[in-house]
Amino acid sequence: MSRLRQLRPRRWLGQAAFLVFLLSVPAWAPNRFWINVASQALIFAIFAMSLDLLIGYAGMPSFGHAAFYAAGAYGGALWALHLSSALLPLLAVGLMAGASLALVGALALRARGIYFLMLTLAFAQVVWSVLSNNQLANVLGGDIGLISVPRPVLPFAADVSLFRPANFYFLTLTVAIIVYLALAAVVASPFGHTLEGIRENEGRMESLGYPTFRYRLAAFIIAGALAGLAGMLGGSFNFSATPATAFWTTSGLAMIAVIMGGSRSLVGPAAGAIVVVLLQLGLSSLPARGLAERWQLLLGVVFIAFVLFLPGGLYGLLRRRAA
Amino acid sequence: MAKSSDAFLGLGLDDALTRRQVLQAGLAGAATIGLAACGQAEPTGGGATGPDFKVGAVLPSSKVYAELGTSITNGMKLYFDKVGNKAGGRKIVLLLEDEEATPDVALAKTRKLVEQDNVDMIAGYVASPDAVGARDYLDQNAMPTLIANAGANVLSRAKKSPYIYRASFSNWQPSHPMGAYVAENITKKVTLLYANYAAGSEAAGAFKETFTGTILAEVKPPLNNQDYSTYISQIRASKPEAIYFFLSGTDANNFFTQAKQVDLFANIKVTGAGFGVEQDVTQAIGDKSPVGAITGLHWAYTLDNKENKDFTTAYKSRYGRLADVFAMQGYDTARVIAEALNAVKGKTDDKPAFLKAIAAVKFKSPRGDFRFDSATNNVVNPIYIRELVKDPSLGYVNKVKTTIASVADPGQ
Repeated sequence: MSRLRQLRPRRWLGQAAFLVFLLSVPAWAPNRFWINVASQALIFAIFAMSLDLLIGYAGMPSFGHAAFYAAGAYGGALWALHLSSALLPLLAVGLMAGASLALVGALALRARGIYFLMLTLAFAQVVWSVLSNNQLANVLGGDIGLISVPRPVLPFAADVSLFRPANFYFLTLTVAIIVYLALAAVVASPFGHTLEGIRENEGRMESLGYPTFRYRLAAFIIAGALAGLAGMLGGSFNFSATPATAFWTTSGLAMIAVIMGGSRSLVGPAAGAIVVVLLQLGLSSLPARGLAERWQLLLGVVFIAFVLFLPGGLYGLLRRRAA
Repeated sequence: MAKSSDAFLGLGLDDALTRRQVLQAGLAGAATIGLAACGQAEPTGGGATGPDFKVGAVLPSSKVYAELGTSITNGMKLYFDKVGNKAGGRKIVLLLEDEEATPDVALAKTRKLVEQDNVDMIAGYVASPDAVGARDYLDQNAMPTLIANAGANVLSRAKKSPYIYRASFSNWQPSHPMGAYVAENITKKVTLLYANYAAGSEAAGAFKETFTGTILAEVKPPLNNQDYSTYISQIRASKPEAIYFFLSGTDANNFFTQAKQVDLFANIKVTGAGFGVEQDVTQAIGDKSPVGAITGLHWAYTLDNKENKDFTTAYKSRYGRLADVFAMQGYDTARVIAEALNAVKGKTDDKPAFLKAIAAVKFKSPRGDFRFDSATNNVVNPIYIRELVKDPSLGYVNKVKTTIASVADPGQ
């Protein structure tokens, strides 16, 4: 007991230090490239945290999470291109787009485990093929996607340009922190505990009277909405929404981030996402051409090393150290 | 460079950061997981006076377009080496990044080259979605850019940028003259076969603009297709006298190999856009090549001019294989950079003057006369109507039948 108490202030201290670290990125980043990398990493972190709700807490190994990211990216892009680029409605559009598509994708909820994984994968590939279909090019841009997506405009401070890397970074950081706090509240709530119960033993939860399907559906929709939010940010970060974002490789990278970071911890997958973005950039830019071409292979080796030697992921490593 | 782009975006503060970075790049970058140093420029060699002129090349070295990326890279290096990697008194340094054929990755690499490596210019892009995806970023950062392949029409039309020039082609160019040529000289009954992606449908659209006969069917296999049997039966069922195809790379390999196995071309003529019967394909499939195919393209291996002979000979002796159209595009891209640098005597700080110099570049290219169209910033191409033949010494290559001079993208 006393040991726990001693740990708490340290944890707070760690969190505060981490927050200061995040806030100060634009101050010490050597150039705007690294500020942009930080934004990219945070967007991917939001995406990975939303996936962690499914994989880590609800025990639903979704391999099609990219579909919801793409829904947010396309929804946000269409909204910004045709209606308005005001920030708050755009954030809502990202959430709504992800949530609505999750409602469609919920047919995968009938299955569990590996079957759920395959169904979500198939669902996302269908979304990808619709997005890249040139017959719908007038609306969705075909395989080129939607381009010239404007950056959002802040409410009450329209003159603070989100084209500036640092400003956009603070926007993604704010959203990432809100998403983290929201997800942390969800997993700590009775709802979150029920999800964990369903993960451990669905039959038992059912016999206790929990409508488990509804719980799983709610988790799926929350995760989809937050993935859509990440997608909307990613779309305005890249000024475009492209079909490739819905491809299974995007889902795969997010899954790697969750596992490498340590699932069922939120911060773990966020850290994993940052590592994946850095590895992707670093490994694919290696000076040795032969190696750079095989960055996926190197990422795979790193991933296997994590699975073998750090089964709890980065978060597990931190926990072991703290204990 | 960074300075003017920041001014463009109204980003005064970042200036301080970009200047400081010179000192911090090694230190802080390395601290950030030790990746900052990756892909840095090689140290300067002697000879040139001004600072290095850094060209950031975003080209695929992995995935489906790796072959094309290699050809373009080889072509660029061949020309830069030819001029001693110097132009306008500045040493030219080429920084390569893998495009991968994924728009978000290509954009991230572009960002790295612009913001981390402080390149003076961007060149490359094989896949259209990658070029189009990077377009807004390049335009906003006022970054002089030369596209070395990606043919999306939109880059010369609604989304043309004063900073982006294209030294390769627009998808419209090779196929537009072919419609009229096929209708007048071959047949009026044609079935279209094209990979179902932007380049394929743009090529088919350009063909239809001038084709006065009947299109019997449009067969659209997906990009990166393996099994063409259903598409071959669709072609047969439409009973055409000729097909007009747009396939390239491994798609063309697979289709022609499988078509040969069932003798599809016994009484159907082959016409198309020339990419699918370039050396990369014909050398891979050998006697499965559709001999007699009539295709349109802005180059042919056998073009009889001095520049082309010099280019193809030098390419063969350095890389041990036949040049293809992509290598030629890389070669010309490098030449545009060198010629523009010479024109401004290496003074690229005056960006409008440098862009003007790029626009004004004219030279004798292996493809014929090279110049940009000021209305579209796209290259004006001669289009060669070629026939695939088996040459006793070269193997399967294209011989020019007719030349259509100065084909310029309509710009809308």
